[in-house]
Amino acid sequence: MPPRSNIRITARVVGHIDGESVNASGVVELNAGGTIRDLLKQADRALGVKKQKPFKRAFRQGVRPVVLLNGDRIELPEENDRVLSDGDEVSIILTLAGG
Amino acid sequence: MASSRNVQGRGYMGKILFADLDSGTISYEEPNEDFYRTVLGGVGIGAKVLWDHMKPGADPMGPENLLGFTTGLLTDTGALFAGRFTVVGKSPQTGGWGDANCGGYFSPALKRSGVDALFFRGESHEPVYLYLDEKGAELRDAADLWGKDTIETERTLRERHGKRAQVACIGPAGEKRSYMAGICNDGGRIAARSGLGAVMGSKKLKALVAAGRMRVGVSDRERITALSQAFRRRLEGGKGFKRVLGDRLFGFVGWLTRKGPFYTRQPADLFRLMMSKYGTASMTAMSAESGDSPVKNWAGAGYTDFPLTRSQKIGAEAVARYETRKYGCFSCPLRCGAALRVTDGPYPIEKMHRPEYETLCALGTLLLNDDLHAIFHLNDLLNRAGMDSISCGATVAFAIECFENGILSKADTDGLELRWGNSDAIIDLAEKIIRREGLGDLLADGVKIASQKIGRGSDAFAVHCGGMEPPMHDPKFDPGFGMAYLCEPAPSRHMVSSYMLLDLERLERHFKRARKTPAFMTPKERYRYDNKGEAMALGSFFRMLVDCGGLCVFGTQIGGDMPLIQWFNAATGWDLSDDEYLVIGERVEQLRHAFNLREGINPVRDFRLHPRIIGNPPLGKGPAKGVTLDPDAMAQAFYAAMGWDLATGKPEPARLERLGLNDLLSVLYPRHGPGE
Repeated sequence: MPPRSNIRITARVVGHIDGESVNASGVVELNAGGTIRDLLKQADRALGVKKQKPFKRAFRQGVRPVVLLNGDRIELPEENDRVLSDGDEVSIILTLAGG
Repeated sequence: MASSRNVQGRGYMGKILFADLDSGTISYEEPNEDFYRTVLGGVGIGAKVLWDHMKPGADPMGPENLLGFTTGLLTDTGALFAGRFTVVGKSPQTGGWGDANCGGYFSPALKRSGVDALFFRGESHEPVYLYLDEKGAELRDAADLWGKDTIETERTLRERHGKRAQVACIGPAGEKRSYMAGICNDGGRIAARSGLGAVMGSKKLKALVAAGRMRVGVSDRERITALSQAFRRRLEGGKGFKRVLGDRLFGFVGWLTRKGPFYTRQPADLFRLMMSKYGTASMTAMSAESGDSPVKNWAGAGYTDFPLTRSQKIGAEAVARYETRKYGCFSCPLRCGAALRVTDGPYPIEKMHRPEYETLCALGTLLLNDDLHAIFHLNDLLNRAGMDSISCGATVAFAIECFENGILSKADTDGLELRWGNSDAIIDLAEKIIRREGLGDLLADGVKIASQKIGRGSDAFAVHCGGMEPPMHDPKFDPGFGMAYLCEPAPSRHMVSSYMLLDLERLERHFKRARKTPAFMTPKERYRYDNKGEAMALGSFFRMLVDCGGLCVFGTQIGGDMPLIQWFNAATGWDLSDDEYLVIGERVEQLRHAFNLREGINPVRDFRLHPRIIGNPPLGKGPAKGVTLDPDAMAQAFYAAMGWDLATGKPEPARLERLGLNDLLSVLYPRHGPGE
């Protein structure tokens, strides 16, 4: 059986979560064929922010986070099963409008 | 101490002042209760008076233009968030309806001087300022003030008239009639948009000083106090609740939002926390990253052109390091303002208002400028000059792009190397614009006029809607903004209505006619417009109500359910329903629109969104990759909801009759009788 290859994804979360300014980023290793859903499941632990859980909490704020894959916008939860490739960058941004 | 309240009062003073600057005379009108029941106050008074007193075709910079300052019906009644005044007039930028509003402490001082609004017509030969208090008003010589910046003007006038005096004034930008000039108060706050500072300058009116002590009476004082106290508790109560439950609460709410059959969004509470901690500066970095902020004169993508490593240099935390204290406007419990002191870097500043998101983005992200000290300095320069930072940033972006594309040369720029992110050149150019010197003179009236003067294809870089530079929210990110930029009587406005603002305002909690906004929108749904017109129109009516009350729109977006209707009824003693108030909001919106129609303006034709705003051609990268908006479909949806004819812009006669605007019919339909 060939060894399972891993892919390295750069993940970032930025914005305000529960009123606090958050900016966490780093590299997450996933099994080849890993999806956005897998990334979001593992990102908090992989980046050592399991206690703060910014990736998890970002989706529990009520506002729609903007999710970028290599800088282009994708839609969650519709595209949760999108397969990632080695070197991809995923950003989760919580944004609000105003003057 | 202010004198006691008039027990007969009903939220309004019942008096409107008219100052004729040609003759130096002052007169008053005393409208009856029906007038206030029709338009409430604030921008409503402005719309009604401008419609009634102005003739079409007036030169915005001529004596026939009427410049109005209005306070809200709820100003100084005990309602919260009621510290804003609205300036109205014919805009030199658009040639149509113009308004701008601002917080601080000027509005209550104006109302305590015994008037709900004041209007200036004519042109003074010499610089003057208007002093008013509860005893009366008079025009005084302002020769010694002419040429002073806004902060110096305010300081001089407060030394002269006492600390009670509140001042609204223009700076050098207004004196030099720059179409980007606004009107400043409270040490550099500014009613910036529509170019009304230029109108004030054209009248040689340097300042207004309000030093009144008369408190307006209300119908049911106890009720207003109780409503305000309960609202304040709801705003504070959330914090306590959050402290106890924290993540568990938000997690549960988020889970429901994602999975559950119920709509249980709570973004307004988050918005409140963000605003109280960082103000609007909180949005700078994340908006650059998400695609909300326009980048590189609307042609770039933040993710690649202005990535987080750069945008964070001008973001919330970077700005917060310079904070010396937080402050709030009159009657505001949110306190989203802050004062800064800058002691390091090349431009030390002793005291300055914290730059708002719009300023940080227009002078930062839009120009690929991550030099925070330069932005602070520009913010101070523009506040002192009395110039709109949105329009100025957009104009500098336009000039940079002309330079980069060889349309402007070093000979045109007096040697300035206008490149993206070159903060020294940006500062030099802004100073030239303020002084109307060299290239600055050509740019001082905004991008539309500058591109007309420059020619040579420069209009491709002149991003505007109907002459007004758009604010720092990209409609490709939130198409609701596009609908507002295009269709609103004052184009290029970001605080009237959008999908995100509707999310925060939760209008369905106040108005039976309003519907909940959807919890999620797929791309297909986000760029579908035919089902959004009604909600956006209702958002506009609501915004008019907020402005008629003299309230801050942020008060409606931070949760807690602002008791707007209850406040109105308690102040006036009326018993109008939510629907009846929406009718008033619509009446004001239709009046503003009719003002434009009378000037020959139909927004869908005359306020076209610049191709870059709609994504034509679409961007090849970033969050808005491949997105092209359809402004005609947007207009179709909004016009249908407003009852406007797409070809002429005219409202349906039956609708005007329903709104009690029969006097508009004879003007808009001169060959037909009412109802035809």
